[in-house]
Amino acid sequence: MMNFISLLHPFSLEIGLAIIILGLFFLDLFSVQAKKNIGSWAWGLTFLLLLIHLSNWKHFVSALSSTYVHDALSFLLSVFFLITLLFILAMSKSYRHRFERGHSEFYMLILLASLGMITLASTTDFLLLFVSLELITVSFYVMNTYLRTDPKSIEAGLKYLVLGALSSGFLLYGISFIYGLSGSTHFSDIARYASSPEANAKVLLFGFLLVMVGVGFKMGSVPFHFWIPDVYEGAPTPATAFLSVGSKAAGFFILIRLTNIFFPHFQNAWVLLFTLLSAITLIYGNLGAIPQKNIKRFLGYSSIGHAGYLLMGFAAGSTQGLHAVLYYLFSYLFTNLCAFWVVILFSKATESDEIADYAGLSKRSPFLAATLFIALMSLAGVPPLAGFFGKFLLIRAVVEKNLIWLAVLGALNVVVSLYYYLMIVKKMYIDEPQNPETIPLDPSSKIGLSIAIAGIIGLGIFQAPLLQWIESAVKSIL
Amino acid sequence: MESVLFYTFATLVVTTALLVIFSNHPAYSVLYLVLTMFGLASLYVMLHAYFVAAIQLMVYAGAILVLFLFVIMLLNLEREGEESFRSGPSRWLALPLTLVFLVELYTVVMQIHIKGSKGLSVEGNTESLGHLLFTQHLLPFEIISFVLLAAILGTTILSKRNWK
Amino acid sequence: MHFGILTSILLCPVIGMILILFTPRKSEQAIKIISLIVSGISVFLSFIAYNRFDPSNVLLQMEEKISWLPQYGINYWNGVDGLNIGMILLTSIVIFTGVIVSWKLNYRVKEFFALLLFLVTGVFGVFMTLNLFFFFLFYEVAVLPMYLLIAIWGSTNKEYAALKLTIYLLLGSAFMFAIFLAIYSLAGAHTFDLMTIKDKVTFDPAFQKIAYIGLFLGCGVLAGCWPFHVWSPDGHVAAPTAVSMLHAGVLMKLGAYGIIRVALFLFPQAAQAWAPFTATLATFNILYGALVATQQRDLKYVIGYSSVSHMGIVLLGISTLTVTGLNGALFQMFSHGIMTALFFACVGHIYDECHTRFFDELGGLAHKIPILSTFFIIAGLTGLGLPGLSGFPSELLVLIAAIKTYPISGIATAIGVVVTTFYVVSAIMKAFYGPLNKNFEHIKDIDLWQYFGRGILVAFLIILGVWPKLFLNLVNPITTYLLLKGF
Repeated sequence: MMNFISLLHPFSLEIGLAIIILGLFFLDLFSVQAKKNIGSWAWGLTFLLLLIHLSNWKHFVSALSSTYVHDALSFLLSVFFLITLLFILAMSKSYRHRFERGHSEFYMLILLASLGMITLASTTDFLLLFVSLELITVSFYVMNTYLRTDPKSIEAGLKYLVLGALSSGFLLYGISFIYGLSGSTHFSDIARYASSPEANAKVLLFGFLLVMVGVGFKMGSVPFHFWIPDVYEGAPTPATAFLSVGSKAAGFFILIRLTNIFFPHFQNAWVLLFTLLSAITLIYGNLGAIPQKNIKRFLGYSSIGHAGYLLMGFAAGSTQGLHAVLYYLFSYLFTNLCAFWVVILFSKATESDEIADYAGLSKRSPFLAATLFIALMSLAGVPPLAGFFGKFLLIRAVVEKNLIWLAVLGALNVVVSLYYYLMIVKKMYIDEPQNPETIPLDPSSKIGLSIAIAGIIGLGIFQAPLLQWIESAVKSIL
Repeated sequence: MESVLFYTFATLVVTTALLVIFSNHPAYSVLYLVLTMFGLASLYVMLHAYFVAAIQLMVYAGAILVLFLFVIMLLNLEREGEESFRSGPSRWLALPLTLVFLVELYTVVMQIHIKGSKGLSVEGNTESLGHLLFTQHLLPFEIISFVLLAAILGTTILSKRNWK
Repeated sequence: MHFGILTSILLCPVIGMILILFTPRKSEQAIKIISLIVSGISVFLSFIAYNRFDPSNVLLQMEEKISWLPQYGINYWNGVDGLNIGMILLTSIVIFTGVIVSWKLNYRVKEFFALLLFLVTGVFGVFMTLNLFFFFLFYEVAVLPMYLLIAIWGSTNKEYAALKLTIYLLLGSAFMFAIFLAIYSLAGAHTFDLMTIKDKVTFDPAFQKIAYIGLFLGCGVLAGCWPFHVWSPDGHVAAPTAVSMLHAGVLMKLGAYGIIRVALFLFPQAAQAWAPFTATLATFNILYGALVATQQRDLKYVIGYSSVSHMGIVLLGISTLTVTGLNGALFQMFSHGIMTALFFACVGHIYDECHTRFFDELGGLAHKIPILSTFFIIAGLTGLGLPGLSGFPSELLVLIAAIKTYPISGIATAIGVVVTTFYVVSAIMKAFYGPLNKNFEHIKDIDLWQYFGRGILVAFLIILGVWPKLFLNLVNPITTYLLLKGF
């Protein structure tokens, strides 16, 4: 076993994923048979990659003048992205019917975006960070517009393109300020500059704020959230799901790496910025979700609300806050993907994303209804589900820093969010279905959803293993 | 002398960039964009970044914008309708927010005292750039190829007609 | 003592729920039998625990401690003392009879029993845990299934009532949770273990004051404390029979238990300072609940408001901060739990048979369904505190304590009891006596099985009524100990 591990290149994950992408291109070109099953191929190979990657555990290196590191944190994050990727690939299979053509290319785009996310997980350099972000964003431009004949999808793609380009511009502008001051794009050099006596904290803060515009766009926090409802509604649902988990998490992961550099040097501004952002985002997302009629828009607003919760961890600015953010993201991964998968399966059977059509789902498909119910409850933060423990950690981190009002706001928003999640539960369980036909489910989606549910409940009850892992990961960057 | 040149080119870049946005005919916009690129290239030259300046001119002004012009002429785009720029009430926020941003930018920029970059040696500019790209920045360079791959894939899929 | 009896009690409903989830939807009888068996086992285990319990020992007994997330001060720590052994017993009895009463249910049986058992898990958990984190976790588990249970299987404005109930209780629990976190970090406890906090942490007096009233009101929402009681009558009325039984019988006690176990336990000085205020609130509870109950025409609303009034007696007993008052409050919690369960079980049958609960439309039922009427009347008489039934000693204890400490509240309570007598008797007169409504010629009395279920409850009311010492022996040592140690 040891021999096998030492044989692996430290970049085996990145190279492996690149090989999978290119290999699938060839497979797609030359084999008609494989073209039909390209999703299964992609899934199987990615799963293999995950296994190899897991066996590579504790094999930490840094490369390229340490602009690229494999530490415990990047290991954790890459596992996060790989799990997301596996879910997205699996649920795209259920969405295949909506693409009149080019379904195999959709998988490639998902893989390309994931490649960007995985390099992002390990980067400690602004240059690579920007390039990885662009890879993610460009792939999403295309995925969001994938339903070419649907005006809503075109609108989604266009909005994402324009606002994404704008935010990238701000990000780059901010990076150039930081580079201009410190003479380096490397995080550790910047940190060294920031703690040196000649550092110009004000300009550095300005640069950081500009970077936050780009990152805020990815995270979907107010005031960079304008694209979310329309894009979430118009984009193909697997792309929406990927946006809501992968892309959002990417934003938060960047912020985790940046916390180390910037937080010690302007704590006051940092805490003020993130408390305000968090509070506004929480309120906006949760109130915005109440009147929604389309489930994807609804989940979009709820994802804004969750960004608000996650920002609480940064408002605390402590290691506990970072633990909480990471735990929350893992719980969010299972929960939100579970919800979106149900949305996909439902729309496959009914061709509708309207909340009104979810009436009586518990009679048409008890399994789907129960799954969505558990997912929504976990999103709301109901014990003993994963979402609850994530929220608990976040609120605790904030209280430890004496930000009581933010903690109270967070707790109140749980009640508000529960109200609108219960509205959907009411539709599913109490209202009568207009069309009482049962909804068929294929076994593979059933297994996938069961795994997601197991994740939600497992992370809710047995918190210790993941938490220990997260703690060691956060320790590695301090 | 250097500052005179700098301000000339900087003014050129800013005015033409504004004109790109404000001209009604797409073809004019493209032509102004060419000028913007030219101004930018001149600024690069002043920074002794000759290679980047040349690439800027050749790739953007030379290739991409010409392609733009072709597309515009082939599609026979006319003046854009005024109404296509309507947006919600939030547009009224744009002006004050921009002003705030500009004021902030001004105060910040006034505080910067850059001691002048070490810079690269003028002679070995291209060479050292290449060297950096293939050593220290190898990974970003490789990732860019994947960005391009995604972009190519995207354009093909989104634009191709009657395709299975 | 390696056999964790408390965890076994807790696991009974969990196992039942999992078994039910894997039982086919069609085999309804099997689902009911599973529920009956697991709740029966939990009754059995509770009695074993009760048998093992040594009342003279004021320390925790049958402790089980598993370290869960030690770095966060979260431990799975269960234990019983005089405060909760009775509550665990009460819960198991009510759920057992609740399952029997729901025997005829035929709408979405699988979900109903699964949710019911899930809810009971939460209730057991709250009563036995000694860690604030798990306390909150189980509390939510106990509250949230309510929404579906009421909204799907309920009646009379069910969706509104379900939502109102959920939102109220969640707001209360959010409040409670905020205080828990404040204890954890602001007060510097850095653990959620209740016993460790009690032993190790000294609280700032100002913090104590805020925390106590916060917890009192947060838990008070669930206990039906005036003016946050408004969810409770609506909720009781809308809920299906078994849920009403559990809800009024056990769930409201969770709130009162939380006040005693956490607020009073940790902040006795603050409790003293706030006592006049909380006693006033409790008095409002008693009078308001009783007065509104006189104006109701729906049997379930009468019971709902009488619950508010009776929970006021519990809160008043707590507020007196005397051994007598606290004993009375705990006794009242038990006796009221059994009594309302019986009430709702009886009303449930009436509604199933007559499809109405308005007593103007009922009448003369005592002739048609004598057994059920007898049961209902016994419950009613317990409610008004007839000697010989368990309501009498409990209310008397609180009354004695209150008249000594807060004479005005004591007098108001006495008035409340009189009003209670009035509305209970008038309800019984209208519904069970007088001319029989023609529509109800063919209604049937309860069968032997249902007779058995309700009979258990009646037995408890009578046994505790004639032999109150049985319960008082359980609680007296611990209350004496707590109050002596506290001041």
